[in-house]
Amino acid sequence: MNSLFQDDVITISVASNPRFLTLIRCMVFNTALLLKFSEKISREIMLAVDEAITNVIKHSYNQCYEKEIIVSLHLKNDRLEIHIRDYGKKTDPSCIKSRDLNDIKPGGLGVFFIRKIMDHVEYDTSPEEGTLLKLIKYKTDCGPSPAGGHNGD
Amino acid sequence: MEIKVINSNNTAVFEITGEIDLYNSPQLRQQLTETINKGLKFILLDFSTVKYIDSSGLATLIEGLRKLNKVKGEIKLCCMNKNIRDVFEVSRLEDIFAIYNTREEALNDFKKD
Repeated sequence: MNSLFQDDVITISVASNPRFLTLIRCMVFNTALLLKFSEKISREIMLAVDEAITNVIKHSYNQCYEKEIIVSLHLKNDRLEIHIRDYGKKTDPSCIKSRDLNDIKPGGLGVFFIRKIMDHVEYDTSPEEGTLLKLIKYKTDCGPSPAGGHNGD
Repeated sequence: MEIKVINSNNTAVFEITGEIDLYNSPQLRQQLTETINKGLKFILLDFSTVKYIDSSGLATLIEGLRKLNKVKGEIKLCCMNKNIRDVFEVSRLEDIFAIYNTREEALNDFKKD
């Protein structure tokens, strides 16, 4: 069977202004649908990406709304990969914790959603500036990730 | 996002339209704070026309809940679509918020308390 998507990439660069979140959500949701994820899973992926970008705005850029965020969607036959690049304060992966759901308090739910929804979460701090966050969601009809996958978080 | 507040019998009903995210949640936070500061202790948030909520919106609701708990008030939610309800379910916030299918049910429960 011919592949629908070899390695198509959709990239958008936006200012770190929360008003653009709705635009990115729309792009992510429709791309997931295009890849034949169910509407439910597409909504979940959209939420995970929204939360990741919210964290960039709040923590990497300290709510400075004029910095750059680049979101790349990599369309693969078996998965959707989302790369979120920022140039702000580096993320220390060891400090990123989702909160205990029994501890009811504002905050901390974003990381919980990201890890709950996505199959692979990887914070790449190797760039000289900022962080590259890689999120992967596999299509269930393509099976789980290759050996060694699913452990990025 | 638009918020229309209807005050009736010591209860404020928030009719919210649109998406509640990092961009919009400050508006909801401000409206909740103003309402609580006016002395209204019972707040119902009608989600009939809410299309989306993220953790910023949820955090705003938890803040509102805490403020109302301090004054022995209550916050109730109603009329969520399934997508919104799923977000509450997966974050286990269904356990701490009183969620109703209809506005009438929620308002009646305020009266019973």
